[in-house]
Amino acid sequence: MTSEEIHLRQILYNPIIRDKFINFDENKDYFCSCDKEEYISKLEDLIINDIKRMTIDTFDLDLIISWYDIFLKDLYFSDVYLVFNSKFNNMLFAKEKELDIDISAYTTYLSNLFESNSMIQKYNECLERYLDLRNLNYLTNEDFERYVFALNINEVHTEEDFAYIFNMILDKKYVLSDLEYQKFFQAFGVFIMNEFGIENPKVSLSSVLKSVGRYKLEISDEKTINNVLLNKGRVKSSNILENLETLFHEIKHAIQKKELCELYRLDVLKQLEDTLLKTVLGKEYYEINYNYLSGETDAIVCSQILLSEFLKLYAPLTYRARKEELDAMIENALKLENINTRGLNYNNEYDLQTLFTSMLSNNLQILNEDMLNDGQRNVLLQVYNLDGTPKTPDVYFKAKEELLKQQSETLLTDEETLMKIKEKINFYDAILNTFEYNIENLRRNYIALNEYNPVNNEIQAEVMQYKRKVERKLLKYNQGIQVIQFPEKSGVTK
Amino acid sequence: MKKIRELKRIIYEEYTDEELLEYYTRKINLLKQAGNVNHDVILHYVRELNQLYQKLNEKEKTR
Repeated sequence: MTSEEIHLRQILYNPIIRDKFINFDENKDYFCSCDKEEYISKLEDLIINDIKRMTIDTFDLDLIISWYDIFLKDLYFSDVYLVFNSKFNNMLFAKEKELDIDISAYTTYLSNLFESNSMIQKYNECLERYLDLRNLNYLTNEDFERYVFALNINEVHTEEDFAYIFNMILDKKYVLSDLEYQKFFQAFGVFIMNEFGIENPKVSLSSVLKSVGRYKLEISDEKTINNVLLNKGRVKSSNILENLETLFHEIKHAIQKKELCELYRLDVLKQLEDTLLKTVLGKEYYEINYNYLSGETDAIVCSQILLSEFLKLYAPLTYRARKEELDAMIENALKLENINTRGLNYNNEYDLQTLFTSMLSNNLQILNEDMLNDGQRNVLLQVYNLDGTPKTPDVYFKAKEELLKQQSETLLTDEETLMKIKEKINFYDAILNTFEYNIENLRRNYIALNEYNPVNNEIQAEVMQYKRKVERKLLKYNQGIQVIQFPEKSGVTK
Repeated sequence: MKKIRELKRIIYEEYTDEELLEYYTRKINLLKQAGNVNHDVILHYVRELNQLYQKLNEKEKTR
């Protein structure tokens, strides 16, 4: 807190100094740093923030009344006061038993101040007045702050409301006080999560978070809440791009939870493998490989593409100015996504699938224990057998044969079924083409392929090609064998 | 139309063919630049790219 802020707070909170301020002309020597009007303008932000905070946390009736009498001459301030007290009033009666507040003092105060009907009327008038500000051609920053204040109170928002505010901050360079911005950003977070089809969304601000953001799935008997936590200290209008990227990143983690159980996609399988390796090998695996973990790189790529598209839609001037920077960010993220090696310690690196296969063979209980839900187990069992060995290529070729047959029998108009078939074929192709195997698996693959005779001509050609590839790899391995020393059965931590 | 629907499509990675074409091209270039990458992985994306080219060409013809 600066010395000036301490001095201003003394005026607000210390009754002796407040009395001095009331008789400003007689105490000019005391307030020698500036005149009364300047003091009031400096006190404005403090007053408004403190009224909002006090309305939520505590309620000091006498103090607020004294501020109202002395400082709140401005229409906006009295409206803020009015609105927050109106909200507070509703909350008070709804939660009477939960709150430790002297209700009789509060109701006496309200009845002295306003007739209840006229209070509701004034409340609505003030909201309408500030929402009308949006129609002005030119806004002062103060008008903008008032508009956002009214919007935040309103609780029902449209996409246009949010788009307008983002555009004003990003392209037109308006700023908001931290308090209004944080409320607005939280409301936007919940709004966009709803639009993205995420159930029970919540955006919380945390003062104790070490990172910029975190996603947390909160499971209770009643419902499951998708909570995006944002670092409160970072949520301010000067950090708007970082805030958007963090929000999108954490939302992607919420979506990944769903995708992990449903999708046939190589990147989803890699995420599941990384998650299980992290569960078994612990914090060290997470720390060493954080930048390459599939879940993280997927969220980074997605949030950066999303940020770029968001700016294109809602703040075109900012997008144009930052296009190169945004493209470079996406390029870097894609580079990280391409890395398929993982470290067990800081010296050794292994191919992800080889590492996962080794881990799985030492921890077969993963496939049976409640570490996986049904969806995740299904995805994993597409690729691994119950004894932990990877499925041999003939399994995928057989599945592809069946899928191609289904494809030929499906009507061209049935786009949904065709899409699902295509998704599965792509998934099997991706595994066949991108998985690295150690020598033991290569031998198994070779033997399995020798015993498999496909009916479909297309698949027959693919199998021949694949067999030649395995042969070449086997030859290579004979020249220099890669062996993984994996720790003996480690204790599985959940 | 709600612009936000565009964003929804992206977060669920439902890309258009043209976007996928750009994505695969980028990915292949990056993999080539990186060196020391499994050759089969590059081939996989090249195959995907070829399939997309064919699909887009056919689309073009039927216009």
